[in-house]
Amino acid sequence: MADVKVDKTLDVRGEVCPVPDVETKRALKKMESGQVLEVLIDYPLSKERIPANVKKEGHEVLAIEEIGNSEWRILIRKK
Amino acid sequence: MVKIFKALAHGKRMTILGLLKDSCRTVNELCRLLNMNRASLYKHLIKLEDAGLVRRIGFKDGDILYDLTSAKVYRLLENGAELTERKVFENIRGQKIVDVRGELCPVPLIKTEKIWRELQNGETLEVWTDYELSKERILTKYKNFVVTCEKINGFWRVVLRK
Repeated sequence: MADVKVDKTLDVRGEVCPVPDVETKRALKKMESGQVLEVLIDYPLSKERIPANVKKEGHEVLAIEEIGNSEWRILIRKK
Repeated sequence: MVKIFKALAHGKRMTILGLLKDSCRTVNELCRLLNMNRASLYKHLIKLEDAGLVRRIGFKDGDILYDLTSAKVYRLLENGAELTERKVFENIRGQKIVDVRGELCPVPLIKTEKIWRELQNGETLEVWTDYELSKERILTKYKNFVVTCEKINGFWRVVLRK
């Protein structure tokens, strides 16, 4: 997914629930339709919940990549 | 393993796990959602903690915050709901109906989520549940998609349109 232009990065590594989930929701709210949000997390449960929750809101999950030992990068396109 | 499945083999504890699947929660929040006092809730939380299914992850609003111990527990709950018989059928108009009467939280919500993902835009889905908390959670989660919600013969019929 190297060719996707990221409009905003949210680095919530080191944060536990509910911070990553809440901040992701907040960040998406402020963005324009079609823009891409990159979320960096290291809380394993947020890796399950964030994609599930944003899909429910109608946004598109472009990728979930493991970028390190228990570190993930989630790319979301706002609906 | 026995300890884990013994801890799971309880309606209230499955409900607690179902609520924690969505998000970490404070003890106060869990008490409110389950309509349970702290003492009874703690009894269940201790069993779940002993089995390694939940843990305290910190504090929020001066209260203890609980979460599932790992993504493995998250997937265990998801797989468990899928393992239970899938009561989905279509009515005469080809509308999908999820009949989860008799199932406790989180099964109705997880099943609804699963069928929802398979649904095309514009299609409708009917959920039959007799568990009030699950009805509430479905209405909250799909608040922008609810067509109707009515109570008939002791269960709720929730119609959602994608």
